[in-house]
Amino acid sequence: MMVLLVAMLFAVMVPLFARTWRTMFIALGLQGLLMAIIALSTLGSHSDDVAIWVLIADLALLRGIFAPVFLHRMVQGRARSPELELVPSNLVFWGIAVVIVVTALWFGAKIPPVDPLPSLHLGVALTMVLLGLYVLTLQTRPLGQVIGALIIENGVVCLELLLTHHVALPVELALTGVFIGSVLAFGILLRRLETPLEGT
Amino acid sequence: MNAILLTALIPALGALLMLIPSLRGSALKLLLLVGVVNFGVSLGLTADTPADAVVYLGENYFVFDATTQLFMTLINAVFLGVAAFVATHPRPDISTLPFGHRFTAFTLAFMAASNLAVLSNHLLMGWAFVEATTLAAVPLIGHDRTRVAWAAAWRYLLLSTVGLSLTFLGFVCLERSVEVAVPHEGLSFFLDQLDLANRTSQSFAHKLGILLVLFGYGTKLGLAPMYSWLPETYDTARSPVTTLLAAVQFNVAFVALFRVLQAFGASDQELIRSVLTAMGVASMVVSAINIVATRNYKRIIAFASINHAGAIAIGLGVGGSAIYGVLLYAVSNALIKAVLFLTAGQIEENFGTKQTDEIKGLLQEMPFSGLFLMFGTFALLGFAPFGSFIGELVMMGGMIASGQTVLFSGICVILLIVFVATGRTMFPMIWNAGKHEAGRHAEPLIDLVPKFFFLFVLLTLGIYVPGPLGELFAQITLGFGGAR
Repeated sequence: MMVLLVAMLFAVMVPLFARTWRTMFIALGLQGLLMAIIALSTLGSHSDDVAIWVLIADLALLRGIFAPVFLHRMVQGRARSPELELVPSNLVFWGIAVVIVVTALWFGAKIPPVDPLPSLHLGVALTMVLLGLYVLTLQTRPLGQVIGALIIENGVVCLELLLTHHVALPVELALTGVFIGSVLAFGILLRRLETPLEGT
Repeated sequence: MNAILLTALIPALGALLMLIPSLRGSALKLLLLVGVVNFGVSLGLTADTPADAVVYLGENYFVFDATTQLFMTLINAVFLGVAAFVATHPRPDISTLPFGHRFTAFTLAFMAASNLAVLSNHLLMGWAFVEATTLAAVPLIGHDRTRVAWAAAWRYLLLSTVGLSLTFLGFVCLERSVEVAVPHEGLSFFLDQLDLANRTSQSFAHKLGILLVLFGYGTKLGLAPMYSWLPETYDTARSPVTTLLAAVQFNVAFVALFRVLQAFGASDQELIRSVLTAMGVASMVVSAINIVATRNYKRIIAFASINHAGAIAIGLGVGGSAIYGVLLYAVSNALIKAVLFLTAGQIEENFGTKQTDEIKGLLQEMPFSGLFLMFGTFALLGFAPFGSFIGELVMMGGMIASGQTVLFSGICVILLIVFVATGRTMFPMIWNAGKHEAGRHAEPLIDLVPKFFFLFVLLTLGIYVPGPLGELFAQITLGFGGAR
């Protein structure tokens, strides 16, 4: 589990330093798949609960595959440039990002109970939410904003995995439906707001 | 009592019918039909159910209580007004655009989600339906298919999604606080089973959860600091869409926030009061500054909406007897916004501008619209004898009664600034002499009916609150810890 959480932290940090939006979509997909594996390892014992399987399918298929692939297709050929800087590439902004990560991990360790694993899980989820907000404050380009918003969404779901009292099937289906709707709306608007590349 | 769910099922079915190509030609007739049926059903159910009755449906996921009765009837009344306006509007507006069936489909989906959100008895389910209203509204805002419209839709979607994500995060924090306090118990998100949460009110996670929920739902209400989506969206969207957002979605978000306050208000009174008062005052200050600065009448009404949201937030923070005033104020404001935004749409259509200094002599050129704008602005500013005046008075009384005289004085100053700034911008449009001959612009009588109805109800609420409606107000206030 520790390895998965560290990998998750890595998948969250990558988009900040990558310079192409394709890499960022891959990182978003990786976050979804890693959350699905975490859910499988922590919630797999409740195998008779359909809601758990809906949640795992949501993480693996929707967040891991559908969302990044769909958004990538929507932007392909329309984006102004293949490059995108989520965080300006200088030491000040990178430094702030690192401070956010350290603060979130410290915060996760401070909220009781102080078992190492839930604390790290909480820290990683908070890192995602705070970094997503940080990206949103820096981005004026729709493509960057949608990546920031999806990082926040993933962070909230990552936090949801910590709950021992799981939501019922109708609620899980409603949440999944809302996520699909959000991705579709984001994708359609992205396609209209991202200007085509010159000469294409 | 499953007839209650018809208010959501009928619009949902109507939206699905728009997938059938042969029915698309009758889209606006269907919209009007659903509006009539939905209003009839909600009014009939409310009249048939005692104010103190609480009916649970759909395995307790939905509830029909006094709050639901009041707001379901209200949003369906506004929806009927909007449907009648759109269906009978003869000008080249939404009804004549080639994608009229899309407008109908998304409006009906929006109304289905709105009714389900108001009915919801589950925090997460209610959250999902509020988010669904947001998703259904996006294509309505971008209806004109221009870059400006899409940009407004984008900002609306982005800020709403982020705000609602924070609300969801708040719910997770609340759940976590229960797990920490009472291991292996977990938090049931059913509103009628939240007593366990009140036992954990001292934990940090619990307080953070409450804070995030207030902040997130505050975004949907247009409260500062995340209010910037509201003026742009209300200004850019077509007037029927703006009316749906300002009078229907606002009240859906209000009910969602109200439910949270009903559940946690007693245990976290101080925290809730501080946060709501801070957000409310900040919103009123921001809106007052913008009302002074802007010369676009649609934006002035939009900023006035932020001002009203701020007043409502402060009233909710004060609690007690002020809740009666908050309810009256919220209901009145839904009707005021419906009158003003529908009128603003007609004025924009006829004059081709939203700038106040380019419009003069409305009473001569568009007598009915001039009158609606005049009375709507009076009600907006809290003049007697409109319902908003009484609501404001009761809220102010609640502030005095709870000893918050500094807050009371500050709000009086802000309201005075808004009053002067709105008056000096809006009234010259209405009263000053126009450049053109009287009655130059056609105003079909059928278009005026919904606005007459809303104005009539507004006046009635200010003079006399009918018995059954008063019972609903009193019952909701009682459930919130206020006096009858």
